[in-house]
Amino acid sequence: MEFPTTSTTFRRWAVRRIAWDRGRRGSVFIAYVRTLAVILFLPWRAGRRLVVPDHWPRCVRWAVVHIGLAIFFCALLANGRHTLQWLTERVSPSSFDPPHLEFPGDASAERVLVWFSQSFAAWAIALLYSVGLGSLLSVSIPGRHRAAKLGGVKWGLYLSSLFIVMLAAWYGYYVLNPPQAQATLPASFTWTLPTPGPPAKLLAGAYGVWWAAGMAANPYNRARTLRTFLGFALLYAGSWAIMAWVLFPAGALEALL
Amino acid sequence: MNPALERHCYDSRRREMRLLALAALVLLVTSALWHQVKGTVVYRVACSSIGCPDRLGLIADALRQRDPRFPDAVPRFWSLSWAKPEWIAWSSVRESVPLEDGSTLPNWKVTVADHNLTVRGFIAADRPFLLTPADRDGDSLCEVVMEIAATKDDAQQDHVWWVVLRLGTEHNEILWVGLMDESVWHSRGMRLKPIWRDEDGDGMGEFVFITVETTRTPAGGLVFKPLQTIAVFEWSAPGGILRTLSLASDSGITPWSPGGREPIRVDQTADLAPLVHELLPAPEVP
Repeated sequence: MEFPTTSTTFRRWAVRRIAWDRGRRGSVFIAYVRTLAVILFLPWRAGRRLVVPDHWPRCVRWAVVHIGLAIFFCALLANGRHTLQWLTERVSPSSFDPPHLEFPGDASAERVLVWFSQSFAAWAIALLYSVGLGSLLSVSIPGRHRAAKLGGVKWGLYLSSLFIVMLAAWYGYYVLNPPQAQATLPASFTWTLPTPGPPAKLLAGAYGVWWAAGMAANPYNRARTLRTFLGFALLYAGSWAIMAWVLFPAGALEALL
Repeated sequence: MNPALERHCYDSRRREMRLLALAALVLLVTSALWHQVKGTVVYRVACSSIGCPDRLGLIADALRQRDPRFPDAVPRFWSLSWAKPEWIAWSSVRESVPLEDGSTLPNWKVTVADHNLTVRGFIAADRPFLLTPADRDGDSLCEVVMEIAATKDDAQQDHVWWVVLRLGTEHNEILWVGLMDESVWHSRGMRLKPIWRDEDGDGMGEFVFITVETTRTPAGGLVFKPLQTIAVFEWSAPGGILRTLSLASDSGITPWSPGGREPIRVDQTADLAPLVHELLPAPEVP
């Protein structure tokens, strides 16, 4: 018998929703922390609890806020941190002035804004691509129940909060283990911040693993095993690679990230 | 309200296959479109990225697309790109020249391109340092300033040569050469810095040497404070050659300009150092 069955004796099961998805969620702060914690540390449970495809407005709001914040911080910290450097120069002008050279230090505000906008657009594409791919896969895999497809989309949107946490962990590591400040002279004739840029592939990889864990736990699946998880993970990784490296290769434009 | 099973049912397999085929078609068409426009996107973004020190790979890629003369692969990239929209300077290591004592001397091939990433010229030199490459005399060609250090064969090791070059598509032109005795200024705790100056704003810049005082900040940075003008060279001669307008007697600078109305043509790939040393040899050690 196919599950869930179309039999009239079909028994609905109760779904205990995650805190943010409940009709009465109580304290917004506590609900937020609990939701974030279950997504981060128990993704299979979060995926299972997000199986009911409803409450879309709050789900979309959750995704928009988290993805928006992640894109903004990624663009701010994008390759070279030129926006941060420029802002730092305004607050505390550099005393470095190489001999014999007309010092490049001051890019105009307009150009820095253009560079920031380009990085913002690139990061928006990169992060929305990860989320969009999960949703696309969820609705594209044939033979799945419609609720499973939509539940996968809902899980993918909630999972977008992973980006912010990953970024916090990535930069938290560098705050706790600060590398020695160094200059890239004379390659660029500017000082660079010692921290690295946001790790695009790490963010996408983590999203894929978490996404697969939640997808594999969906109660509408015919099986919810480790093999199911591995199947979803491989599907996501393979699709990501084909899309990013074959269909839409960024090439030199990766410098914007 | 419809019952739950009616709201949540399996899609028909045929409908799913149709949607999949449609999605695949859309992806393929979009991908083909992306491959068509990618080069243009890279070029446009690279043009607007001039001056951004962290997008050198992007700019190099666009330069390679624009001009096949730009090297495909170099063992190491250096680039000098300043935050000015009008120009870009690009350098890459060309080779290491072995010396008799077993050490090597890096030999640089420098590519200069404008804000449209059109290559304006190439220079070969033993050091990649340039002043801002730009059109300084309104003839639409780029002028660059090269610093050429003394070689081990030179008697005076504290002499450097400054060369003003005009870049062309086929060859370069030497417009001015100056030999500077750095020890004169080092002994005074100062150093000379060449700059371009256009005080009257007519687009004809003067080539100027100023003294700068070097101080070290508590944070360890260096600050170069401009003090006074030591020498001024202007475009007063035919053929766009620089001539001396004023020169302090104790400047330590020996200027040289082509004698006729034409600047000296040099090959773009030629090493400038031997030619410059021949044009303006360093004084013998007494």
